[in-house]
Amino acid sequence: MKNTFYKKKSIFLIIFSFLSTLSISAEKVEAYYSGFSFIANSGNLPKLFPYTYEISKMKEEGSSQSLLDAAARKTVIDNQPDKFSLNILGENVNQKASLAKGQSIVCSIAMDNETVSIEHIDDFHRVVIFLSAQILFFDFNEKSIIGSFPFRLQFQDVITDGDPRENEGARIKSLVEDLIINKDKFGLSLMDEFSKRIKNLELKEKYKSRIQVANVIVEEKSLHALPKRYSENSYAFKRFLGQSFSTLLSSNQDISVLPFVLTGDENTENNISKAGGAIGGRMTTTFANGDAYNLTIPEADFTIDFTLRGYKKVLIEEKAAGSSWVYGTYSKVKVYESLMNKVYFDEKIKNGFSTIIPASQRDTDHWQYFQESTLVLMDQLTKQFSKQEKSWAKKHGSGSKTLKQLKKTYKILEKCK
Amino acid sequence: MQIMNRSLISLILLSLVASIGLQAQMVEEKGVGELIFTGFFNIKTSDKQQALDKAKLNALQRYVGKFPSSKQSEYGKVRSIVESNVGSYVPSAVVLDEEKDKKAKTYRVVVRASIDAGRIDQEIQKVSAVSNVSRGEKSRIILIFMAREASETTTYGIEKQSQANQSKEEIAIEEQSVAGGTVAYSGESESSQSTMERSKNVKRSDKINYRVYSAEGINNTMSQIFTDAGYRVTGTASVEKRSQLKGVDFAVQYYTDEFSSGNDISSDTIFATVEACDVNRVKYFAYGSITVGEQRTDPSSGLDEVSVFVNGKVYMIDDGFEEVVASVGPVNYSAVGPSVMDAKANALKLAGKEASESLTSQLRAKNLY
Repeated sequence: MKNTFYKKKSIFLIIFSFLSTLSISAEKVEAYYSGFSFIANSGNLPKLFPYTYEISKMKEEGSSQSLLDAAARKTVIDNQPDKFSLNILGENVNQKASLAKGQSIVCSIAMDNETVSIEHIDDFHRVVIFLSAQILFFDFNEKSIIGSFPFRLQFQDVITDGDPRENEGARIKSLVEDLIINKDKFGLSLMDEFSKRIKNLELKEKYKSRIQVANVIVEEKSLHALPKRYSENSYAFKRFLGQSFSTLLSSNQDISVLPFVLTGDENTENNISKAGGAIGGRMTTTFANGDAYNLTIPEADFTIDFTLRGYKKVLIEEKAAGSSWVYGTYSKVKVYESLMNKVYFDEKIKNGFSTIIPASQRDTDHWQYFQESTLVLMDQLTKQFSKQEKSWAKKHGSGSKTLKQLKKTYKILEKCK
Repeated sequence: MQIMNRSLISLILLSLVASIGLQAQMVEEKGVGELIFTGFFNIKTSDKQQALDKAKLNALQRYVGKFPSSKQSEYGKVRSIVESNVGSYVPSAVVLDEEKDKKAKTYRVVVRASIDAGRIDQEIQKVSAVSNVSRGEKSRIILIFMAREASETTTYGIEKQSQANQSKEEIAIEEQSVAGGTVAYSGESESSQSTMERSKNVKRSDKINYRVYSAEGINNTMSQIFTDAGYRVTGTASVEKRSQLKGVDFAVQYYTDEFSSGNDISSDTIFATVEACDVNRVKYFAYGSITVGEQRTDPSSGLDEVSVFVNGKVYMIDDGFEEVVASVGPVNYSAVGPSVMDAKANALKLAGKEASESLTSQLRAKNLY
């Protein structure tokens, strides 16, 4: 009897010691929130994020902590995700050091785009602000990205008393600050978008399949529409396109999308310093507290090429009060697996954005309409992978052929969940 | 009863060890497998499994294909063992997609395979000659690697020499950059006589002097790698002392002096080293330099970045004569750090590690021990 009990106990111990090293625990995945960061080279922050960068240098009242860091930290504390555990990583060096001892997932709110456009219309100024960021998860030890979940917001305001660009853009800076951290001011904020995104987010230590926007091509017929900041820096524009597509794909299909990288001839030292963002398999994140990490991006299983074929604006109707325009975006999207050379989607997709420009408008920022047209194209396409609407495929693609390929692509996206 | 208890205890311990062993060094690689299937309606499960095995093998081959050439030579010795037992070295694979062509009767599958890189390295090490001889049979090796950085640079412009009517003109543009210490420059001039008129443009190489130092970090890293590879690393200072007692004029200082103004070691110093090794029954000596190069701010991270260049050789002494049996460089490495000092230390350590791994890999591939 004693012998049998002893045998059973030993067998239990054998099984327990074997299983204890396997990750079959039903407990939630644990991650550590590490701070607010920018996906860019530190040297390019003032140029790529002129307002947000200035705000990041401001300190919270009565504290040495960055205003953005403090706001982000509070948002995390107040909005714990349902499906995984998110702890706050302290400033304690020992805590960071202890992360390096084992496999630990670190999370950051990583800003990847800030676009401010100002139009002078009659006696007022229209301001359009576009901000986007990613919830970035990476392995602290390996410095390798595990998952990336983009989110964004766009805001428009009309300023009737003076030029917001005066006084070194103080007014714009204040607007951007409110849009990032103060939901009460306009009913929306980037931090609020973050809290909505993270609530139901499912974090896995490892994802079955990985997808990534790998190549962005900008054809010549697009160049005429670009604003100065993009016409002088084509790599920043490619980054904007790549990151926007990644953001919308991730949020509309609820999947992790690896950060967009620049590859090939673009991957030269000079271009790297101009473009910021992810470069050739590595991505730099610069934290508000000054820490910088070069993160490895694992190889994608499925890749997306986005080609911007051209922009065209067409006058639809002209009246005394104003004119009606359609701003057209023409693109080509390819989704494929490179090893087997299997193509799931390879279609020309177009979209038109209609707007009325008042006759009294003195200067028109055409770019904001082309940008809107582009983002709507991306938003709709990434939704259509699952929606698969015949009418949409007919209007924006090539009809049944597009529809068939949407269905094919959706099967791949399901593998990325 | 006692035997049963011992068996159970062993089983418990074995499972604990096996559990620890599960934490292997895994790397991921994609692979594709293709098969011509024979079934009429559906593809047989066995066919699919075959294609999957082919995909795993392809992933393994793609991973090995990224090895440096010396490691590829070593892998060649164990290739048949590894590839005939793919399942053990590629324990798992995630099927990314599959494709069936009914017309061509082909079935293809693409996977992301997890490869046990640590186990492959162990296999390579197992068959190396140095791992299969007793300690007494292994030969000794000394390591003489110097870290250095430029202390002054003299740059020359185009020198115009015209030999006509017994006159000569010389133009030299000199720039001196000094990092500590005193600079003394002595110019040179030549005159020649000729009855023929001719002129030529001559570009002189930059004259660089180096500050040479023995970095403890590099030496420790390199010694460890050679030792782990199975070689008997002997203290160079010890060999120097013993040589002098035996009347052989060998000193590590010669390397310091020569690397301070040149990029290689003179034949006299090589000969002295060969003699020193010969009288002390040391079969190999490895020497080289790791030169600190450009220092800049990494545009990606804003951190300080330092580049280093590595050159190195391993000589084998056989019957009093030396021959080069392994070499590395010139090859460039760089590393970043929060300060120039940290970046420099990281770069030197990285270069030492990579150079040692390349040299030991070459030695093992040639079955030298």
